[in-house]
Amino acid sequence: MLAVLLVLGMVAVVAWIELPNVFRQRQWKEVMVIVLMLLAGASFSILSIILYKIQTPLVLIEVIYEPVNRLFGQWFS
Amino acid sequence: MLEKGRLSTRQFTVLIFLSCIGDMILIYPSAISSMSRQDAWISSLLGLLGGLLVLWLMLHVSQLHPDKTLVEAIQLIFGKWLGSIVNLWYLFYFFMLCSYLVREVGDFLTTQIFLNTPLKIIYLLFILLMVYALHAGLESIGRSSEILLPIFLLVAMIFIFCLLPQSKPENLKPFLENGAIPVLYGAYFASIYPFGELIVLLMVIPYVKREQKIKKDIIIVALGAGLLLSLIILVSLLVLGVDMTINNTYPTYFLAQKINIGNFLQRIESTMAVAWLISTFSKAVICYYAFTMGVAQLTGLSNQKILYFPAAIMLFGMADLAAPDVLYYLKHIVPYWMDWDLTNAVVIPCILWITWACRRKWKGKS
Amino acid sequence: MTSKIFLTAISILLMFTLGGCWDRKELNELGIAVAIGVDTAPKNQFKVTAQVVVPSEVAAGQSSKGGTSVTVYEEVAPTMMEAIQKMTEISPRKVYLGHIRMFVIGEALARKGIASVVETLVREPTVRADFYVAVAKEGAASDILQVTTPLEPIPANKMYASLTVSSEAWAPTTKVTVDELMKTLMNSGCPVLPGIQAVENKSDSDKGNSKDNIASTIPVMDLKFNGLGVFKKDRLIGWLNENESKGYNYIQNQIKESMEHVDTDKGVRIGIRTFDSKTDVKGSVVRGNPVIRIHVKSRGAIEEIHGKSQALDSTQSLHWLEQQDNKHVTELMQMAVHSAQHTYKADIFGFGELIHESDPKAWKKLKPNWDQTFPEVKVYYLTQVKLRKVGMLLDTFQQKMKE
Repeated sequence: MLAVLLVLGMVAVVAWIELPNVFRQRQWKEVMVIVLMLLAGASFSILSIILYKIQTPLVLIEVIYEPVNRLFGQWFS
Repeated sequence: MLEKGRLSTRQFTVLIFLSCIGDMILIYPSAISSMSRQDAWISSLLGLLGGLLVLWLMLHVSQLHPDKTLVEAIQLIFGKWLGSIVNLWYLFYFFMLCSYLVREVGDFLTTQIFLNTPLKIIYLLFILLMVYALHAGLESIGRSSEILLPIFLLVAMIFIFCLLPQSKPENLKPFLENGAIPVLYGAYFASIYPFGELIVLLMVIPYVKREQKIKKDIIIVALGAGLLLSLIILVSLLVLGVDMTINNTYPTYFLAQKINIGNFLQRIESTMAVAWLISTFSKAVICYYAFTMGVAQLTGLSNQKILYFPAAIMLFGMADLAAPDVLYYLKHIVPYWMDWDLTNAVVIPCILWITWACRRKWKGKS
Repeated sequence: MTSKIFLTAISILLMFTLGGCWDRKELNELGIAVAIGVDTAPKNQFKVTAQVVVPSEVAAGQSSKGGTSVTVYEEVAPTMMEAIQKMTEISPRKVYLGHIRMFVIGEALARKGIASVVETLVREPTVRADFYVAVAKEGAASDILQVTTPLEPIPANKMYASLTVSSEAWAPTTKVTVDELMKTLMNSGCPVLPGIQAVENKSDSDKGNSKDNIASTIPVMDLKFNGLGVFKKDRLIGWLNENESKGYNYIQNQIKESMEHVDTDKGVRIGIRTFDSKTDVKGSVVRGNPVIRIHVKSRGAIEEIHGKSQALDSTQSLHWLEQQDNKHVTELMQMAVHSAQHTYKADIFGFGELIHESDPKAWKKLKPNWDQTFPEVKVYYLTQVKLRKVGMLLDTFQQKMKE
C-alpha cells in the first residue's frame, strides 16, 4: 500500500514539475502526451507492485514469431 | 529539428563501441556457447562479419534522408498512416529494449553484489542517472562517454590479460565437433544480437557532425567491439571450459572472481562490474533517448525534454513487468528476441530502402 | 525555482536509497568462515561445520585473550545452506562464506555422493571458487576442522598452504578447486580429491582442539594430507596409496618439484631431486582401439647417496642413473594406471576426454561403453629424465673413507 502511494506521489511530483510550463504555453498536444505517458507509467508501476504474476508484453512477440520459428525449424532440420 | 546539440564523430563512434558491447558482456558467452559449444569463438568471429553487413545496411538506410532520424524517415518514406504504425512498432521495440537493459542491470547487481536489496531501488538509481544524463543533453552524453571509454577499456584489458595465464587450450578441442551447422546458427545469433540493436543509433545519427569518413570509422569501431566480444568468449572458453560457460548465469563475473596475480591482485570482481555497468548504461541512455525522441517526433511535439520524466516512470514500471524471472530472458525468449531484432534491423530497413528507391523512380518518371 | 525543487526532490530520494543500504554488512556482524566441512547426518540431513575466525586473537598488535584463534560451529539441517543459517542459533554473528579456504567432505558423505554439495557451492553467489576441496579420510569433517595447528594461527590457512606447497613440491597430493571438480564431474565423472587425516601423535586426543594442542613441540594432533581419493560418478570408491598418487600426479602434469629415489642392485640408494617436470599425454585411436601415449620430461639433480659401492665419476654412471630413474618413474605411473584400470575401473586421468579431443567420431562410438573399454586401454610410457647436476660434491666420499 505504501509503495502504491509512493508511486502515485512520484507521478504527482512529475506532473507538478512538467505540466505548469506546458499549460502556460498552451501546448495541448504536449499535455496530452505527457498525461498519457504518466497514466501508462502509473499503471505499469502499480501493476508491478500489486499483481503477483503478470504476463509480459513480449507474449505479443512470441505469438507473432512462433509460426516463423516453426517454419524455419522445418526448413533447416 | 528537436535536438540542438551536435556530437563529434569521435563521440559518436565511442557511443557505438559502448552500445555494441552493451549488455552483451553479461549474456553473450552463455547464449552463444549453448548453441555452438566449444566452437563459440568461431561463431563469434563469423558473426562479426555478418554483423558488419547488418551495420552497413543500417548506415546506408540512414543516409537515404541524412538529416532525418529513423522515425521521421519512416514517416516520409512509408507515408503518414503506414509510417505511424511502423513507428509505433519501433517505439515499442525501443521501450522494451530500454526496460530490458534496466532489468538486466538490476538482476545482475542483486544476484551477485547486492543480495538483499530490492530490485526497484536499483531501477530507481539507474533510471534517475539516465534522466540526469539526458537532461544534461546529447553533447554531455557524448563527452562523458569519451571519458568513460578509457576506464572501460582498462578494465576489459585487465580482465583479459590477467586471465590468460589460467587458460587451458585443450578446452577448445575438439574443433567443429558437431559439424558446421551449430557454428553457423551461433554465428547468426552473434551477428544479430549485438549489431541488430544498434538500430537505436539511427535516431542519433542526424545530430552527428557531417564528416567524410564517418561510415568507415563506424565500421572500424564496430569491428573493434565485435573483436572484444569474441575475445571475451574465447577467454571464457579457455579458462572455464564449455559446460561452465553454458551453465553459469553470469560467466564473465565468475571469471572475474578467478583473477589472481601473485596473490596480490585478487578479488577485484566488483571493480570489474563497473565496466559492465558503463557499457550497459551507455546503451540504455541511447535507447531512452531514441524512445523519447521517437514519441516527440511521432506526435509532432516541439520539445522532447518534457517527456523524460514520464518515460522514467514508465520504464520503472515496465522493468519489473518485462520478464517474470531470470530464466525467461536468458533462455526462453532468446529465439523470439532474435527474430524481432532481425525484423527491426534488417527486414524493415530493407523494405524502407526498396520503397524509397521505388518512390524515387516513380517521381523521376512523372 | 523549478530546478531548486527538482534538486531537493532528488537529494531526498537519494538519501532514501543511499542512507539505509539493504546490504550493509558491518565487519563486526560477520562471522568470517575460513573452512567448511560437511558430513552426513541421520534422517537424510547434512551436518555442516564452520571454522570461524576470532578476529581479536589473530589481529596484529592486539594482545591475545588466551583463547584459540578460531571457533567451530556445527549444525544439522536438511540442506547445506539451511545449516549455515541455522548456525545463528549458536553464533552471535551470521556466518559469511566469501572467504573460505578449505572445504572438507566427510568420508561417509563422499561415499554417498558429492554432486549436490558441489552444485550448492557453485550456485551460491557469495562463495568464490578459489578454495580447495578435500575428503576427510576415515573420519568426519567436523573432527578435522577442530584441530588447532602450530605455525599458522588459522588451521584453514595451514591446510590451504600445505596443499598448495605439497601438490607442487611433494607429489602425492593434488589441489582441486570446486569449479575444476564440477568440470571433471561433468566430463568424465571420475574426479580425484586429496584426503586429509587428523593424526594422533600422543594419546591425549581430546586436547586436539584446544590451545594445549600446540603447547608442546610435538602437537597432540596434526593435520596430514594423505593419499588421493578415487571417485566414480561422484561417489568415493577407494584410496590411492603414496606411489600410485605420485604416478597420478606425474600423468596429470601437476608435479613441479619432487624427490625420487633409486635402489640399485648393488644395494645403493640414490636420492634424486626432480625439477621442472613436464608431462605430455596424447590420446589416439588405432584401429578402433584407444591408445594413450605418455611422455615425461624432467630435469634432475643428485641429492643423496647412501652406500659405498656406487661411483659417480663419469657421464656413464650418470647416464645409468638416468635410466634407473626413468624406470622408477615409469613404474610409478604404471602402478597408478593399473590401480585405476583394474582395481577401481575409473577413468581418473581423463583419458576419455583426450580421446574425445583428438578423435571425436571414434569417441562417439566408444563413449557408451567407456567403463568397460577403459581397463583395456593400452598405455605407452616414455620417461626422459636428464641428470645434469650433482649438487655441491663431485664424487661420493663414502667410497674413499678409510675403513
